[in-house]
Amino acid sequence: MCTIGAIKMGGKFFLFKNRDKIEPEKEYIERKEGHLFIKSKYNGRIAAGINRGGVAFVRSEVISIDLIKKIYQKWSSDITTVIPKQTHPIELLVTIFDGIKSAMEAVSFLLGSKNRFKPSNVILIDKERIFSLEINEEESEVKEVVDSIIKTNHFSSLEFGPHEDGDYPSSFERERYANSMINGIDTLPKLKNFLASHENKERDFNICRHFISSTVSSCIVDPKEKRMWYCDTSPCRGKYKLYNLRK
Amino acid sequence: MIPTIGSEIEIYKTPGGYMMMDLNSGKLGGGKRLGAFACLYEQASELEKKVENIARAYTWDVRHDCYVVFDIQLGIQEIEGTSYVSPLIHEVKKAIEERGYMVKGFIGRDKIFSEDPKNWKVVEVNDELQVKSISYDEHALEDLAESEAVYLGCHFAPPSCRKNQWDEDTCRNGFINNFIDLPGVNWLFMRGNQHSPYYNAVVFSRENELNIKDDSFPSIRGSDAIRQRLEEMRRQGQRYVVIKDISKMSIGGRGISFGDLDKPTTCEGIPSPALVMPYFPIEPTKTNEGDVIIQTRIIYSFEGKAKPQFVFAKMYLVNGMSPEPYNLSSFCTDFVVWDIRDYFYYLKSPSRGQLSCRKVSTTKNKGLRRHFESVIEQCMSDIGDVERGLQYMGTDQVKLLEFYRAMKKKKLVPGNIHPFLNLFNRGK
Repeated sequence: MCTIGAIKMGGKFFLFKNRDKIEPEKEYIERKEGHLFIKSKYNGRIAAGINRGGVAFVRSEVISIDLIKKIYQKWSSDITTVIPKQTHPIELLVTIFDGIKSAMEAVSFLLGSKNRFKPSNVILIDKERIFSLEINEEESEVKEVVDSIIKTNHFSSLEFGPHEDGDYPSSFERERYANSMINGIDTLPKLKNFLASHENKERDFNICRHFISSTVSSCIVDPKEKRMWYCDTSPCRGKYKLYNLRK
Repeated sequence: MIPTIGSEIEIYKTPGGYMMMDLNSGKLGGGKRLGAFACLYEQASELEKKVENIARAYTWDVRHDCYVVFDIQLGIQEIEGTSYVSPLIHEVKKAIEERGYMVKGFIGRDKIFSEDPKNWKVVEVNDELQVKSISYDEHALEDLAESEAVYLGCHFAPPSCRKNQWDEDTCRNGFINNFIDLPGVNWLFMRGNQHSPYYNAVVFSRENELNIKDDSFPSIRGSDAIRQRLEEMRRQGQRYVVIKDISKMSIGGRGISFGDLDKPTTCEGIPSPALVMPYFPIEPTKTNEGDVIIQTRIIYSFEGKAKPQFVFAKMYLVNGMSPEPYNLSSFCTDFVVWDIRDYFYYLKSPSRGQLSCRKVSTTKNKGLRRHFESVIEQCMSDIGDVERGLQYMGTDQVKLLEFYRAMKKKKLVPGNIHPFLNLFNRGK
């Protein structure tokens, strides 16, 4: 239940993600020769990554309305969203990720795949271009982004999943709220403040969440300099630490 | 006269200035955007490195430092207030440099239907592909007239433009591709199939101009006969007629005109000899799912003409057309591609400069898939005709030239292309 986005600040593109989970979850940084990944200690899932080519990704999940209802009714973590025979787009992407040289190449790889994907919003970025992908089992859409984009947990183009506020209030409200704030962001400190912001902790539309879902980590990726700022807890509490792929 | 690369442009220096002819630059409603589309499709699906291949196809016989000439409308896009030349043009530059030659400069055509040399402008481009200036420069045009140039007006690629295989096959296919795009030759190849758009085409001539004694070439002579023919087409439910002047190359769409069969046609204005044929007898087709007209092209595999690789269609919103135009091009808003398998790819016009591509399962629009399948079925027969035509002619250049000369005697192909066909012999 994450908030992901990309923004152009001072002529450079940045990618960001607040990772939200119903239950607390620990992560670690995997730094190898070809990439830098944020990985879950629980199941090894990759929350975000950047490679030596300066290509980076983040993903947020889109789930069915039925499942959303179950989650909100039960407020439980034992509901799985994994549906057999669906491919996790990031798990597929990382099989070739170290060798990818541009965001477009990654887009091409995913769009050209014959896999039936787990419904996802994916943002891919390099130092020159931002692409927003909506990926589903049978259809996908990619759009190039000029200045900024925010994606939460619903599709804006594809049919699957929540369509309106009533289907999943948090996702729609969070996206609107984030979009209303993002235009004023033009520096890294402002972006960090944005990711740590909440107007009402009792509501679930904040960027930094502490309600049904809580933000367990936050990251900002700078593809040009091939570095990542990572906060291993809610960004309103913790501090971002810089990880550089070159070192 | 300095012949330039690829046989697609000629520049003449005349006492009155420079006269520039771009041969096969693309017809009205033709596939000029195919190259741009191919770039986009390549980005979206990575089936093959088509852009590089197309660029190499355009430059396979570059032998000197040269200019790159292109259509400004297609080749330059404004993104965030900055103008850039297209990736295809960039790849052409790289391909020329890979061959060890320099690009002397970029020349853009501003108004493609104008012969005024002032529409040919020097485009200054920096290393980041940004356009720094566009200006008329007589000295540069003078140099262009004396130099070789790679012309990017017609964005089709020879089917054999496989990477690093610029062998005799490539040359032969380049020759064939350019040759069979002539209105008359196209008709000669493709009139045998009832589904072919050329099936009902006839050669029109005034009185005794046409030198055809072979009854297998349908022809009509004189104004009364053409009036009767047009009336017959109208009775058969045809809406439009297209007239292709086969005595000339199709230069920037010139020599091709469209007429509304519901309106009186002035026969006196019809050139002679000309092909007179229904406009889109089988396509574009209105789909069931909405008021959309689609104009379909099949893109064949590099491995063989009989193997469709994907289907490409231009989409026109019918509601946006009022009154119905003869030329649909300006109403084309979207493209759709079928990968011959399970997906459609819908794309916004590349002219916006930014990618927007939607991949949708064909199960979402079974009608469109059925339509594409039927088009393939029909067009495979056309391709069979072309293949048979090529077999008849043989596939070496000598036989092709013999065929061309025979057709020229019958006035069924333009009489002025001989020098250009010879270009494909150069360097081999």
